[in-house]
Amino acid sequence: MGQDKKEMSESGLGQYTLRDYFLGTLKDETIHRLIERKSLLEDNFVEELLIVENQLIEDYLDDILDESQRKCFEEFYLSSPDRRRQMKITRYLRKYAMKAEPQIAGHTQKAKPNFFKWRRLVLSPAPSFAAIFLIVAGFGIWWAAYYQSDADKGLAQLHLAYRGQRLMEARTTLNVDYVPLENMRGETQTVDEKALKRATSLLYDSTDNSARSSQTLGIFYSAKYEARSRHALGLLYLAQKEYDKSLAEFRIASDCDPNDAVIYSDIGAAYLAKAKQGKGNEHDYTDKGLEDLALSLKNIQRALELNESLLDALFNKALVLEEMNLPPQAQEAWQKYLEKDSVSPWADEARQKSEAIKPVKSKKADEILQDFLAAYEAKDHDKAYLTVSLSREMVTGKLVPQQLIFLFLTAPDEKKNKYLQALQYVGRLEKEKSNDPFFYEIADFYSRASKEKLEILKGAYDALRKGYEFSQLGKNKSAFEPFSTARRLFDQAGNRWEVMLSDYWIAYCESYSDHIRQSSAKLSELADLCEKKNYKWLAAQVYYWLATNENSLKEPSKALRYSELSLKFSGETTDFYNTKKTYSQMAEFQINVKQYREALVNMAKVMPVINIPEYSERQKWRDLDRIARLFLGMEIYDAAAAYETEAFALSQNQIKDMSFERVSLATLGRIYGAQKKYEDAEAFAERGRQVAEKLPEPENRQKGIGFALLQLAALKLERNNIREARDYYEQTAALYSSMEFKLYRYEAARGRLLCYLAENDDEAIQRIIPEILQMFEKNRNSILEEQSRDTFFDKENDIYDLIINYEYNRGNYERAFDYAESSRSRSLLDLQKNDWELVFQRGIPWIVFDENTVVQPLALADIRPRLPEQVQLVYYSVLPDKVLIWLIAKDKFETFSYKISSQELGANVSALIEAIKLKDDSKQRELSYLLYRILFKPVEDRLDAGKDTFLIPDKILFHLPFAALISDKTQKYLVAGHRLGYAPSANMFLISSENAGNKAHIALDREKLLSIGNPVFDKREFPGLEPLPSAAKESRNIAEHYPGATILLTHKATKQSIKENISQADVVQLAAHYVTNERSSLLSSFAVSGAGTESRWANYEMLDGKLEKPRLIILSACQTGIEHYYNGEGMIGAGRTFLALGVPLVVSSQWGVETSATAELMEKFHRLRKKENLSTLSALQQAQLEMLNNSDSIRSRPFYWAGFITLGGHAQF
Amino acid sequence: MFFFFITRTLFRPKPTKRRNLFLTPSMVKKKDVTKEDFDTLLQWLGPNLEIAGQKYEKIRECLIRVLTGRGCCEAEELADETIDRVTQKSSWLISHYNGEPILYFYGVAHRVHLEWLRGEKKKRNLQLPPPSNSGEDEDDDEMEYLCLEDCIETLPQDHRQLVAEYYKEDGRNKIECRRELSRKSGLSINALHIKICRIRAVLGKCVSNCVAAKGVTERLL
Repeated sequence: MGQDKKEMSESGLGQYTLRDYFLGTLKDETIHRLIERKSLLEDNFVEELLIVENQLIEDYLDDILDESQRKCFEEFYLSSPDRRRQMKITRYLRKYAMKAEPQIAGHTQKAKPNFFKWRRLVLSPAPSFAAIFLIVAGFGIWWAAYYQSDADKGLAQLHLAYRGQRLMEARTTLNVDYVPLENMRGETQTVDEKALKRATSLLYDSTDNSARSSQTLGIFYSAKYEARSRHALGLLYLAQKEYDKSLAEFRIASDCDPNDAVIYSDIGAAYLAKAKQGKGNEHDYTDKGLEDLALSLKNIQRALELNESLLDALFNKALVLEEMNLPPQAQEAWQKYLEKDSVSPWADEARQKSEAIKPVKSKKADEILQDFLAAYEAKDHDKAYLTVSLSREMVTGKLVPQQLIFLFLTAPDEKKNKYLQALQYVGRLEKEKSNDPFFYEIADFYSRASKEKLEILKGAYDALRKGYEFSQLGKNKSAFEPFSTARRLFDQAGNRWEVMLSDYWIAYCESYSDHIRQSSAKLSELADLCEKKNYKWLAAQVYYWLATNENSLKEPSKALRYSELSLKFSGETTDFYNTKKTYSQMAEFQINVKQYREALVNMAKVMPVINIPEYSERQKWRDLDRIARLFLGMEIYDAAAAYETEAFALSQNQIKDMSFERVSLATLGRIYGAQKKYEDAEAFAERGRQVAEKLPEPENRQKGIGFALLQLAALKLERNNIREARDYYEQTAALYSSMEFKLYRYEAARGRLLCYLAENDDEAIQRIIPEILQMFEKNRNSILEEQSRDTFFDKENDIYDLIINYEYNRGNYERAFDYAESSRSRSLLDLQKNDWELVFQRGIPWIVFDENTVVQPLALADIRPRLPEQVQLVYYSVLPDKVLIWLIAKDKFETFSYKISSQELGANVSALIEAIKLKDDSKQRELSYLLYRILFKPVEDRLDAGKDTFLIPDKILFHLPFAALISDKTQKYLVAGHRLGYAPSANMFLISSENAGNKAHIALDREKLLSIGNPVFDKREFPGLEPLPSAAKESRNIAEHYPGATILLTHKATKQSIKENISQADVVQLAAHYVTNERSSLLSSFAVSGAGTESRWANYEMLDGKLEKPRLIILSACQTGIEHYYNGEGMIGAGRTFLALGVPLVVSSQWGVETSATAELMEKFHRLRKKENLSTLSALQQAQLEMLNNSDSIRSRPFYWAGFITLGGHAQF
Repeated sequence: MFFFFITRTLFRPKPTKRRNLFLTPSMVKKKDVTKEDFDTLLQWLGPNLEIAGQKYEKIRECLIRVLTGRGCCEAEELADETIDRVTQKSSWLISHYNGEPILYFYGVAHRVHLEWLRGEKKKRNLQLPPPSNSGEDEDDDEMEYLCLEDCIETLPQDHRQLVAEYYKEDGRNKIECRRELSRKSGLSINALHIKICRIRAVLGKCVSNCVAAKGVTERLL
């Protein structure tokens, strides 16, 4: 069976699809038609079908089909005489082969074992042990000497197929003999196709057999055997450059044998190759590429932990460090490789690579000036401008115009003119290339300045340079005075341009001296002036620093806005240095709000340039530190450690300011702590504190010590040393409390709470909870981008869980509920207030709230009186060690809990969904019972039978189809006994119910329907999707229940026509494809009619304005209910978008649904709603019951009906 | 031409059981296919009689396969009904239809199948007995097996040997055995499967003809 998977895939239809076709279990109408059409038109495909058919027959005859397949085979497949004939022929052929075997030429008949003789022998006790011993020993010798598994044989064939070729730069198990790098496989080189086919066959067989034996052999199943098979198959994919497939196999292999270093080394090689596949120029990786490199290093390190002498891993480690742009560490890694292998051809290659690594050396200010002057004299304008653009760092004196001014001021008279002309040249270049007159005007000023003025200006420059010197040493407070002197002198000389520049530096010093607001006020004035005068370069500097100030005040959204402005002006002036610096800064802010993906996108723009000689060392340190902290957040610790180690080395050797060193030390402590290397971690953090204590200025010292203590506290807490952790956290809090700088205050408060909880210090807990929650609300107000808010609270929601748990354990159930509700779906609540706008940043739409638009949710005391009589809420909170269940009605408030870890609960929910999707009936039933007992049984007896039950899930439970849980009392699905609806939070339930009340005046028979079906979407936009003819039928049939319905089918279902008609409809039925977007759910779209982007109707486009009329929207497509969830915000998806728009009821799906069954369900739903006058909740319940009681046993499976849920509030309609 | 018409329509492999039992009234009221219609059909299918005949056979085989794939137990009857309907429209088709003829047949077969399904539903409501496997008794099995042995004898020696080797093991052993066979024969596993499929197709036809011939002989006796 397995050997044909590769060939089977030629048709694009998998073997299992074709088997389903023969078994009559293929429910996707489109694929069924596709198979039929292919079988009519393609002879090869017919043969493919026949092979599958023959294999199916043989599996049936061999009795290896499972029960349901066997049933389908007998009832469906064998219903046709022709097929019965096919089966008979197989049976006859087997019979013939058995009889014919002795007669076949060239074969000798095998002696059949004489069982009875053997039995006699075995049953006699004396020789039996000896015989068994001999057999076992013989088998063992044979096994050791001769046995080759399919995986081994397959691997041998794979080596044969690619012999003499180097498939990739990294070393893997694919390499038997060394092949030089220049022989890497290119398009022109050939592969031994026969050997490759044999390898493919053997390796598929090997994995098939190992997978089957895992199901059948029980305790005899060898995980190592499976690991070997999967590993070998992964190598096949690796050779074919199918990296994702390869990694999937390797991952299974490492799960089966977690101590095999070779597997991890090959995983590292695969990630490295995958990263390089998408690489641009040198070190120019995408965000994904950077992540792949980090994952590569992680796996290689794992391999080396298991086997420090593994040559492949040692070699690959050096390679990946080179790609990560960390030359010194790569150099060291090559040396380590050569210590283990100094003679092989691989060693020669390692030596060459090691020698090719050049020491990274940053150009000094005078070298940059020489480069510029050479280009200027050669009239190479582009090079001259590039040199200026690459080196605009002021503090290290690299900025070319300032260097020229200083030389002009200090050079002997005969040379002055040369520097003045060069300065005028820079001014002209800037003015011409970027329309920024700043340096042009300065040059003009100097050219006309009198001798007296020049003397004053010289003094100003001396002061300015003194200021830079102080700043470089981290003595920013001390720098304040020289910068002020410089300002005064510039002013005295009438040099208003450099007065502005001095003001910028004064604001810089103020910021470092913890006068952040004062600094920002000065910078804001300066920014206005720059914009007025069109001084773009200076504006970019000013906005950059304004962004830094806002970040220090913990205002990440404002900070990002200033960064955007800085980026805009840097772009207009082609300011390479400031552009890179700002991308890196934005990444910093994004790390703070846990927007790791966005941060990685920005860091990917910076990392390629960190080692170019013109780049600033201080900036390089910032980039390295940021990417280290980014990977720390992403939990890829080895990469984090590698980058931070490089940053640390830089801070020690090249940068004079000790602040850099103390940050690196503290961060290294944190990284090692995350890796559970606590002793190293504490040593680093302690060193960080010592360095911080030596910082020359009190504010900086205070900030530095606080940061180091914070890391130490976290490490102590991690090691359960609560007393010390508490002390450190309290010291940190005390240090920060007197400062304007706020960045780490929340972290300190959070740590204190954790310590107080661990110590059960009620008094302290009661004191800190309001403080923390106030900070939470402040954060909510200061993070204005919805997605950033959601990611931030996704990571921080555990604090709420701890507080809920604490109050619950103390019996404060109402308070616990209020905390739960105040952490739930808050962004959705804020969206109800129309104070937000849609902003595009680099192609990504963002919802940005206005300031102070945070809506305070109602507390329980206000919720209960507002609940409709006919409704009860079942509200869940998934806590780390239990799930809390609240039953809330107008007349009821009860609480239940079930002890289960959130991981276990999550695993069970995922397993149930998996079983439903795979139609694994027995597993599905088992888990449905189990989850019923955990989540519904505790509360079921207390529910009022006549009321609608609205579920308010939490976290993973948003994915759970509650309707498909099975009651162990009634042995029935919950849908049989309960009308179930879903709401994101209790407050959102009330809002949706109110919206429903406002739209209830339309009689059911007067509802206007907009029915959209089977749009003709652009195949280029959605390459994997097929048309949905049954959706068109579904839309037409449904419309029959609504007189005067508007129907938009196929070509008519355009974005424009949908937008025009949707606001006029009461009920909207949308039967189409829905495609989720990994980067942003606002980009997830319905596939509608149109060309190009017109074929996408994305979530952000739906947010045009409130939908005043529609009261029910049915999203009859895949995964419209929940694409993913955030802890805290809950479900994200198209259903939520419509709730945000004021639609009270949205019927949407929890998984990828099947088209024809969905059409059937929807037709039933609308018929019941209209003909039987049922409410939406009842109609969906009844339609699902009709599907469940379907005579078609396949369609009655939950997969076909349980995925649809009603979201929103209580409604009569 | 006339001879072809007679052989293809009157002597085409007749479905042996339950002919017309499933037909809905609209299907029963159909006109008979005329020789002219049939000539036109062949003209539409190919430039000469031989090609048209081959195409006709292929279309019929394909339709049976498609209908069987839909779980239809009367695929042959429905395929023939489809062909009859298309034949009656052949003069219109020849001047109006541009495209692969088989796709037109496919469309008609789809309609015929839907009508059949409706008929089946009605029958289920009337509680007619489900189609039985009657006639597939042990005697038939024995006869078929004898036919298969005869048919295998007509295969070339290497094909005979290949079939015997291919089917000599069952259960899990067959995988190893076939891998060995693929190595020995120099064919990839997939090519081996394809070769076996082709041999089976030859054997299948041979066995059908043989059973039909033996059946007639025995019934005559």
